[in-house]
Amino acid sequence: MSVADEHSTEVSVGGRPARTARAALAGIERPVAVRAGLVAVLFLVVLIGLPGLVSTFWLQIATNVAIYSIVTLSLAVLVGRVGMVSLGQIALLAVGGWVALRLGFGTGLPFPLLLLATGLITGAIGVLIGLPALRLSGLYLALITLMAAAAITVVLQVTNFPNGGSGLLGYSGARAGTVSSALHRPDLLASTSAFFRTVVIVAALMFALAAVHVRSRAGRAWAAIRQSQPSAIAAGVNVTLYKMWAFALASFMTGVAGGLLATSTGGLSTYAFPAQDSITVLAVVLMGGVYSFWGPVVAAVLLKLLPEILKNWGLPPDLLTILFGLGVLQVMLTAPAGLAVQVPKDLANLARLVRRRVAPG
Amino acid sequence: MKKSSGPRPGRPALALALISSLLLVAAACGSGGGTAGSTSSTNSANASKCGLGNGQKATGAPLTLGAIVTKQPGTDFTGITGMAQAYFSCVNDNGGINGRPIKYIVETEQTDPQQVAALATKLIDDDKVLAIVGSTSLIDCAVNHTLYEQRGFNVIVAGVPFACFSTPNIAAVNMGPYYSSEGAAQYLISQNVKTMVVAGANVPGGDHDISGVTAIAQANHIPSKGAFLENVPISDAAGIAVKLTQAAGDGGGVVLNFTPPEGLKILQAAEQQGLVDKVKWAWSTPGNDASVVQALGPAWNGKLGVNAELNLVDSPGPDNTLYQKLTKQYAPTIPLGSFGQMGFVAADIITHTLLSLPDSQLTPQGVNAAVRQIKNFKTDILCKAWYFGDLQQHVPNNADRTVVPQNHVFVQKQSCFDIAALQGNNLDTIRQTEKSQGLNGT
Amino acid sequence: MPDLRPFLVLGLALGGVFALSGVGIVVLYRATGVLNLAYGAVGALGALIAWSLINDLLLPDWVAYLVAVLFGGVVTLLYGMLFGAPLAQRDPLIKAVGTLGFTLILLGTMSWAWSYQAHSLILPTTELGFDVGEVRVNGTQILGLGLGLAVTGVAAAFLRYTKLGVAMRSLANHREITATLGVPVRRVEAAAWFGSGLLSGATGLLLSTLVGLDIVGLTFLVIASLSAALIGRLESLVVTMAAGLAIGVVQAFLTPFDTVGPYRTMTPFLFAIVALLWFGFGQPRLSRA
Repeated sequence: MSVADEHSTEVSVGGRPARTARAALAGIERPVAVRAGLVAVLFLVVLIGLPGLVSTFWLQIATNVAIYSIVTLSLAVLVGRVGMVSLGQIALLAVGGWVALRLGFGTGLPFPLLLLATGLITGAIGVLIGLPALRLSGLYLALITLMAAAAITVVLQVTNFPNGGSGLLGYSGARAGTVSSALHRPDLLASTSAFFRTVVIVAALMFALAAVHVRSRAGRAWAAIRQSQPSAIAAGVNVTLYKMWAFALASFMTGVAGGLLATSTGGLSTYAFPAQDSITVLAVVLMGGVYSFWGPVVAAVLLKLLPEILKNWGLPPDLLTILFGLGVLQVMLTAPAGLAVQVPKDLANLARLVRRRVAPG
Repeated sequence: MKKSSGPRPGRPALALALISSLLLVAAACGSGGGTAGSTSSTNSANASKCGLGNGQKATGAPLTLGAIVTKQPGTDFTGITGMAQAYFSCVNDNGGINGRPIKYIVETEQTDPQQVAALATKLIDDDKVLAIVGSTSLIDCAVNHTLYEQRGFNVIVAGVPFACFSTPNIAAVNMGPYYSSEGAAQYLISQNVKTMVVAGANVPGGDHDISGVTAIAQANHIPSKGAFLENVPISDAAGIAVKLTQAAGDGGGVVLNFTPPEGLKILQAAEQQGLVDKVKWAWSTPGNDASVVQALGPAWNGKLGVNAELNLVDSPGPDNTLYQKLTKQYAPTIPLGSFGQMGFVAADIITHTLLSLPDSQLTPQGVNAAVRQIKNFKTDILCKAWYFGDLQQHVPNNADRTVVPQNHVFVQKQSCFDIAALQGNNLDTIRQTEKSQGLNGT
Repeated sequence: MPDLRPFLVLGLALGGVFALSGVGIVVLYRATGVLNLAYGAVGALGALIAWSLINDLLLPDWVAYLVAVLFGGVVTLLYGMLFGAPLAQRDPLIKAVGTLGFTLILLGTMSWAWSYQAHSLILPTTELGFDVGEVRVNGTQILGLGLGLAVTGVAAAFLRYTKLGVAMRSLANHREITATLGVPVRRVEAAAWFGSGLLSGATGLLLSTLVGLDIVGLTFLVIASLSAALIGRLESLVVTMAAGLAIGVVQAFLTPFDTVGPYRTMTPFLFAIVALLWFGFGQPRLSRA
């Protein structure tokens, strides 16, 4: 999972000078195979070992982190690969959750099929919403996703989340007191560690899906669009199609995450999707980095793990909101590639400095 | 003129620090609020005592209690747990629980269901709390009640959603929006309103919360002219105020079921539109709040009936006097008001329960079993004695007062009255059980 | 058919405030290319500071209001001076995302310091008023509408006829060329930031009276003003004003109807979506890459 494929240059979302390929690879000097191996080992450690190492509380938090890492991944793909900023991923997450609950209460689909169906339906919804907006670029695309997300939030407040009631909306006010809007888990996944492992596996599948896309023709088309849309058109790239594809992929992944969220302990509530979250999720994705695949993981950790750690230390979570704001500004100013790229780069620079000192001449 | 050719990493960082510190200075000057209009004469000789009341610091092995409370922009219930902590601090300074101090772990949450579920697991499994007391959360009851039932935890809360009043293992010191809105409607009926309109927050279960108003209006042959759910935070309070008064018509009644900031918006908008006297106004218990009564001007004197689940903040009873004393001594930044009283009562209940147990029973099983057996807990802050009881549904606080604002202070308009039993609200069954099991001396 | 007259008054008043803040957004965008999404949060923080000055420090009301408005100007100017220059060459999207960061900082600060209880800030103009038939019109509503109209007129005239205004307009299109012509670019930008910030402070006070002083609500009401600004294509002040009024009135009119009533808060978003799609914004109008 390299930072940038060999041919792309590091271009930020709009207009900074491009760096050479060599500079882009400067921080990453190990062969790709070793890196892939390390990632695989880490993944297995987390998958198999984590449930035994930490308490149920931290495991449930880790599950939450894993679910939201799919959402941050979708946003990172949109922002980093295609250059499209969407402020509507949280609203889509809520929509995905709604679809999953409605399917879950209304049909008898087995869990994997349910997730798949949720992803596909949410992907279709994302395409429907995105289609008219494709002519817009940059700022205006971001604004329209913000507006659409706000509109969806209002609709969701009126319809609520299904909780087994009857009718098209599947919501019953009387049951809302006692029945939470949560999907019933298949017995195999009932325990916290089993569900955690399921979520990690699904997340890994989503990351793999994204990786496959980045290496495919779609990924190259996205890189061309990100560089310069007019040039891409001139080169014969079907910009509309590939932008649509990106939207569809991001919405699919977010929908799957919504399905997982609906199945997790606690289920869904309209309280869980406040307006502020759309901004916060963009902030952490930018801070984590949009060009590498570690970025979304860092972003999800910032979003869902860090508040719990801070509270453990007795600090108010509001501090984090301020920190994220500062982080966004910092990223805009200095390191558009985000922390996930900056830190290894800084470490590599440090290593080079040390080597120069240690072996002069 | 020298142009900036690119980012200068050093300067913005410093500047950020500068801005942040400026903002934080401004913030530090801005926190907290005025004191509630308290006209109490605190006669400490008349105050109840904390715990053993012997003035000795407790030094034994701590007894751990837990709570889950919502704290996020716009919703902050930490005043309740803060007051409970104040009570426990006083207990710890007065001999503790037979020599052992109480350690109170308060987990704040930001209405993320997964987070709230994890926090309950943390309290029970990791922190191994003896009991969960004083939780006040928008979603904890709904998310975690199954866990509490599975683990045999009998939780004492200050309830918000209906799940806090409809599940077997949760009992609230307050009354909650559903029953309390009904109580507000009962007040309006006693004021001979011609019609009934109710508006509530569009939150999960919000439609059920306001259904009691429509039901009791119908039971009293008063036409119900609307049950509106409004999205919160409200952005067009003036429009809502006009809509409600138009729907109710002259001499009609309007019941509000909103949190203090949201309900206040509607009332202030109504005042700005000159609608105060067009209809008769009532509010469920969230309106019984210090910041609300301070903000309402003299135009509202006697014009708003608030269903108060707790006694007046300046009432002279011994428990309430102790509450005022504790606020002054241990929690001066928490304004006097119903939030603080709720935290006080919850802490009071668990302390007396713990004091009655032998040391061998101070385990999660022992304490929770004892909590379930609580009955006839008398306090001057509540209308009737409190109980937990072995019931499928707990509404121990089912009699309230009505208070009205008078020059920035609440005064009592109606003394304790029972919330009416209606078909479907289970109060008659609950009251029968109270009698038959002798739960609260009725 | 319910009586819509009071809703007309309410809609015009609220719409006037949307217009007021919409103008602030557009003027700033025209001068600096920054779409200030922190507009609402600045106003909210100013209103909260005023609340604390009145309730905790017991200062006279007018001092608090003045501080709130000035605070809006100063903090926006600070942001502009610190982040305007380094980001000046970047895409408008980057600049707007920067203001999102600013929003988060303000939101976190407000929620940290002021979250305990309900806050209420009612301008004294509310006590004045008169009746138009059965409908009551209070002073703050008149102030909201009047200020919206007045500021639109003054700003439009300012941009067209004064030296500073013309400089701002030329900045929008050609920053470098304008600089070589001897226009003090930084000072003109500073004036735009400060002026827009003053409007945001005033908006915060008006909205806290007309809508209520709550942190999240006030911060995200900026979206309604943004919709008005987008309908004005981020350049025409008069259209922005008209759009603001229209959004306010339409939303108010929808209130008493049972079927669409619950969805009325979507009005600004739907207006904005239609505007964005209709005008088919392709490239940002003021890209300086």
